[in-house]
Amino acid sequence: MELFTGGKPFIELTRDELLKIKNQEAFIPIIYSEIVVLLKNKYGNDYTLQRLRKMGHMLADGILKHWTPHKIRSVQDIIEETYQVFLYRGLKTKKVLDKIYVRDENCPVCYFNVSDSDIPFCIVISGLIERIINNLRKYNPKLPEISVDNISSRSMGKDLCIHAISFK
Amino acid sequence: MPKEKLGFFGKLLAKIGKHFYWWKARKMNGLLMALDMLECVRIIYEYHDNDLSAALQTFKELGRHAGEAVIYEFLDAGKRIFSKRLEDFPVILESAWYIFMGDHIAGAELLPAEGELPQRLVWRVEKCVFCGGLKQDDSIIVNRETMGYDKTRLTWGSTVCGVMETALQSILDYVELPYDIAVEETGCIMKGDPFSEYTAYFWPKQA
Repeated sequence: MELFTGGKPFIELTRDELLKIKNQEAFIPIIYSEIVVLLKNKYGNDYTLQRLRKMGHMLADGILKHWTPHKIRSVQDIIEETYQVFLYRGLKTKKVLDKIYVRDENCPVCYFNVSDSDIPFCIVISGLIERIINNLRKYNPKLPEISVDNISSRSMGKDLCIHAISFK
Repeated sequence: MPKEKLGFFGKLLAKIGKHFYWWKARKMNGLLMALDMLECVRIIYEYHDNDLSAALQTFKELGRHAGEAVIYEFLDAGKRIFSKRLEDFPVILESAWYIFMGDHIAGAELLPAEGELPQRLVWRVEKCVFCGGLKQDDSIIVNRETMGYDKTRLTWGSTVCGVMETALQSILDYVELPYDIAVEETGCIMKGDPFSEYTAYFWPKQA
């Protein structure tokens, strides 16, 4: 952790303070993979996919209450800055014809022991990207309204995760 | 073969090794971690028709399953610092916690058996990221009553208890110490305590 308590042994953190703290990433994907199985077994694949996308939307809503990107100029800029701030790394985005593709070789939720699922675990990331961009349109109306589909997922045995962004 | 006792070099290895593993680990921002945790609980909360206590019980169970992955991913390397002495467990725990959470724990201590309580390991978390800002979030009401703490001893960190139970039990089995472990979050900010505190109870195995 990189936050100091100023001599106090324990502090109750606020969400703004959480922005300054680094944590090991693995805890979440390990728990998340258990949740996907639980949902799938009770409700089936269709509901699971829909609920995980909604989870991404809710994460985006939570994030944007406490953080906005410095540059709200383009979809690619926003995605790259979001990854840098929340996962401390860059990633590749590429515009091809009328879509933007986000290629993630180190997906934060497709835990590497899971490669035979019929659920793309990172649909939560598709939902997250979709909601972040669409919610930021209030700051920059020139941003397009988008929808995001997951077209490749490591949880389904692919080499990398790819999110395809379409403009509405 | 597990060591009988953790010597000076074993303790040094634990202190240096944890920084290496932390440096190597992929990191996530604390805000994303806390929100992820909240949304994971929310899914199970809905699954149990908005019964938070039932959700936390399931969450603890998921943590127990997840503990196996933790052992597999993080603690295999720790074999070098495992020993057959319970007195060495605070050192093992501090290293494992740091590797896994990137956080220091305050003075992990092995307490002697007293009354009906067995020997137990107690540690406090300096800055609990899981509940950060949760008191200001009214989308799920989390407190001593809604968690059903007085009946169930479940808290917001129950899943961490599940993970730790499996991880510590695996270590005990590996070093062939005859204990069954149970972990509880005995201090939780969401139930009104000023800090997060975990207790691992070492119950002697019944013959």
